[in-house]
Amino acid sequence: MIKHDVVIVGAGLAGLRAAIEARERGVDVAVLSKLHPVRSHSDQAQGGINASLGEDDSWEKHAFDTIKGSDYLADQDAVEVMCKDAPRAIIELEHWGVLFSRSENGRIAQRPFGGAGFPRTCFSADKTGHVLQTTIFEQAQKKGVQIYEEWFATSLVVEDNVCRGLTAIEIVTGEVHAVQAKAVILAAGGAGQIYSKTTNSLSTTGDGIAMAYNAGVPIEDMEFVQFHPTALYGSNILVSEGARGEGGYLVNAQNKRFMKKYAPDKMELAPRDIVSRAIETEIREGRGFANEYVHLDLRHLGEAKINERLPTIRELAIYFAGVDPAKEPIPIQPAQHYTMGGVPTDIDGAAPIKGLYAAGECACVSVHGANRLGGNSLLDTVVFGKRAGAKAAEYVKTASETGFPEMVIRDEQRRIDTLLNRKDSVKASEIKRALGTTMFDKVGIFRQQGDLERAKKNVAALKRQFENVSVIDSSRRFNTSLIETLEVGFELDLAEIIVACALARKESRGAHYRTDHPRRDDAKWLKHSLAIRTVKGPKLSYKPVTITRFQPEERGY
Amino acid sequence: MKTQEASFRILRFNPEKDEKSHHETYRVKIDSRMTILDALEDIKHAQDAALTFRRSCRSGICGSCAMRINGFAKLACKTRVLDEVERHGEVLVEPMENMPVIRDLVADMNPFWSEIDRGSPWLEWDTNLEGSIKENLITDQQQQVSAKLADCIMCGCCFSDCVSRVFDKNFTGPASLAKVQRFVADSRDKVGVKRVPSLVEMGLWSCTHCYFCWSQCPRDVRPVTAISALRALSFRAGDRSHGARHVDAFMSSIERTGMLNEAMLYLKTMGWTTVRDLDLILKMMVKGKAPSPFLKPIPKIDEIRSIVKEGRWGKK
Repeated sequence: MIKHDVVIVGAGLAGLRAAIEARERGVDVAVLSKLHPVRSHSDQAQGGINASLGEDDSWEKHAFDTIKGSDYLADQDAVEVMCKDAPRAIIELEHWGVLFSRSENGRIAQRPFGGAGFPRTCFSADKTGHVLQTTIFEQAQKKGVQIYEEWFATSLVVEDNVCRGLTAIEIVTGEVHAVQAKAVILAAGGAGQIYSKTTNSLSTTGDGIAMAYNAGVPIEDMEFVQFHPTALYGSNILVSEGARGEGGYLVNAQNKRFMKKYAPDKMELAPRDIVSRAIETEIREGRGFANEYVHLDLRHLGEAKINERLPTIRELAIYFAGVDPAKEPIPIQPAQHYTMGGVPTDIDGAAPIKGLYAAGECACVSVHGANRLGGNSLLDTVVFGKRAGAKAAEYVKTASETGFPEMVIRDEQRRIDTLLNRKDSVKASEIKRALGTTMFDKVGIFRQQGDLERAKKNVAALKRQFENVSVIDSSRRFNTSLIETLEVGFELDLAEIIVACALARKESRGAHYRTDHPRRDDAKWLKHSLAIRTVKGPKLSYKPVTITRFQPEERGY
Repeated sequence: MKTQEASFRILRFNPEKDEKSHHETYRVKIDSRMTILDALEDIKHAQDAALTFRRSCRSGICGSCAMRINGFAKLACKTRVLDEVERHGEVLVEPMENMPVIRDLVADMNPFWSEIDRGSPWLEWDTNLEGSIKENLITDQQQQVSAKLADCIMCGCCFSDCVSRVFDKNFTGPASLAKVQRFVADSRDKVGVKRVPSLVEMGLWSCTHCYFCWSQCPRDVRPVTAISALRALSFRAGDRSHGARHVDAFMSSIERTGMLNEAMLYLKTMGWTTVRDLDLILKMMVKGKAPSPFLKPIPKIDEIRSIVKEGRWGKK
C-alpha cells in the first residue's frame, strides 16, 4: 500500500502550491493527478491575477469589490485574508520566476478587470495561467515533490469522521491502489463539464467535489455557476476578460454598445454575471447575430496592442472562429466558466471531516460568493493552496497513525470490475451529452421553476440510466473510457445538487438568476446552501454568511 | 456548413490484445471547421470506445493531444481535418515517435520528461528575496527571450520529430535545451550562464539544424534558436568539445580560403583522436579519395574575411 503524510488530489495551481508549502514544513507529501501537472486546467487561465499593488489601491478596496461582486454572499473574513495576502503572493510568484508583463518602469503591469474599481489585475499577456502553472510546477520539482501523474482518484476513505486516504486507479496499468494518508487535500478543480457549453477543459469534471460529497461532506453553494460572457461562438473556447480590460467593446446586431443599458457606469467591465445576462438578453430579444451570438470588437485597439497584450486571443480566434480580431469583430456567446460552490472549508482549507482539506476551484471558502470577479480565481488558488498545505502539514505532525480499512480496496476493485465487464449498451458519452444540454438549457443563465423541475426529472432519469452504464472497452491498460465513465458518475451527482439548490433558492443573487424571483432577498436568502448526500438524494440545509465590515447594499454598476 | 466524409487510418496497439500494431480505418462525417480531435472523439463515442488517446483543453494550450498526423507531430485539437484531407487525401494518425507506445495514440512520455529534468528546469531564484515585498525590476524588452521560450507547452512534438534524437539517445532534445535557455536568459536566475558547461554532456552539439522543431512547434517557440544561442555561449565560455571545434574549424577554413577544407575540418575537429582512424585515412589516401589539406584562397578573400569577422562567435 502507498502511504504518505499528506496526499493532494490535483496538480493545478492550488494543489502544487499546497504541496510546496507542506514540503517546506518537512512532511512527506505526494500529489496525485489524472493528468501530467502541466496539462492541468489552471494552465488555461488567460486574463490575470488580482492584487492591490498600486499606490492608490488597497486591500480594503479589493475586498469591497470582491464582496460587492459576490452579491454579498462571500464570507468576508475569508475575503479579507485573500485580499491582504494578495500582494505578498504575487511578489512571491515573481521571485519564483513568473514572467509577468511589465510597465515601462519595470514593475509588474496591471490591467482593469470586470467589477474592479482599480486596474489591479497582474498578467502575462493573455497566458497568465500557463505562466503561473509552469513556474509553480518548476518550483515543486525543485523541492522534490513526489507526483503520481495519470492517477485517477476514485473515492475518499473516511472512517469515524476521519479521513484515512483514498483509492485511485493508476491509469497506465489500470491497477486500483489504496493510498493511505493522514491528511488529504482536494484540489481537483471545478465541474464545468456538467454543462454542454463550457470554456473548461474536458478533464474539468468535479471529481474532488463529488468524492467529498460521496464521503458525506455537505457541499456548499453549488447553484452558483459562473457563465463567462465571452466564449468563442461554436467552440466555446475562452476569450479572456482581458480583451475587455484592454478596451474591447461588446456590440449587438444593431451595431450598438448595448452594455450602456445594463451597466451605464462600468459598461463592458461590469461583473461577469451581469454581462452574461446582458448578452443573453440581447440574443433572446432578437438583437444578436443569427439569434446565437454578439460581437466582441477589438479592432480599435490596433494590431500592435492586440499582438502585445492579446496574442493568444488573436491566434485562437483566427484558428477556431476563422476571424482575425485585428480586422473583424469576434463572434462570442456566454458559456459555463467557473464553479463558485464546492467543498466547504474554513480560512485554512479545513473541510468538515478531520484530516480533509480543500483548495482552489473545488473548495468553497467562500471568497467568490454568488459571483466571482475575474482575476480572483488564480489568487484564490495560491493563497488558499498555501494555507491548506500549511494547515495539513501542521495537522499530520500531531495526528496519530491511523489504520486503513483494507476491504475498501476490494469493494472499489469490484465496483470497477463490474463497470468493465457489464455488457449493457448504455454509453456514458450519451448520458453526458444529454446531461450537458439539460443543464445548459434549464439550469443556465436564466432559471425558473418549471425548467428546474424538468431538469430535476431529466437528471434523475439519467442517473437511473447510469446504473446500467457500460464502459464497452474492457482492457485495463490506459482505459480512458473507464475514466470518462467514472467522471460522468461524478457529474451526475453534482448536477443533482446544482438543480436541487437552484430549485430551493427562490431569489436572484449573482450568477443564480430566477426569472420568477428576479430580486435579491437578503431577509430570507442571505445564507449559504449546503447539500448532504442521502439515499433519497441531496438534503439541503443552510448556514449564515460571515459579514465583517461591508453591510449588504444594492448592487449597481 | 458543407459536410463530407473523411477516411481516418489510425495506428492501433493494445499490448493486452495485440502482438503487433496495425492500422484500422474509420469513416467520419466532417465539416470545414472540424479538428482531428473532434473526429477522434466522434470515432470513440460512436464507433470504437476502445480507441485511446489523451486530450484535455481542446484549445491548443494543455499539450495533451500531440500525435503524428500524416507523418508530422501535431496537436490534434489544433489541426483541421479538411486541411489534412485536402493535402493527403486521408488522415493517417499515429502515436509520437522517439517514445515507446503505451496504447494506441498514447505515447509513454517518460523519455521526454527525463530529458527535460536533465536541465534542472526551474529558476534558481535569489532566496535572500524571501519575505521581500518588492518585485525584481525588469522590462518586457529584457525578458523577451525568456517569455518567448516560456510559451512551450511540453507537448513533445519537437522531441517526436527530432531527427538527431533518432540516432543519438544522449541528445536531450529541442524542448529541453529551450527550457535551459529560458533560464539562462532570465536575469533573475542565480545560475544563469553557469548552466551552459553541462550542456555539452546533454548533446548540445548533436542538433543538425533541421528546423523540424521550429516547424512542428504548435506554439511557435523555435527551440532551434535557443540551441544556437546556447552554442554561442558555450563557445565563448571556452568549450573545446568536438562540436565546438567543428564550428571553429569550419569558420577558420572559410576565413582562410573562402572554401571548406574538408581534410583540415576533420583533423581540427577530431584532434589527436584522428589516430584512431589512421587506417581508414591511409586507405583513402591510397585510393586517392582523401581531400587535400592544402587549399589556396579564392580571389577577393578579403571580402569573405570581413563577413566572417562580423559573424564569428567569441573572436574579434
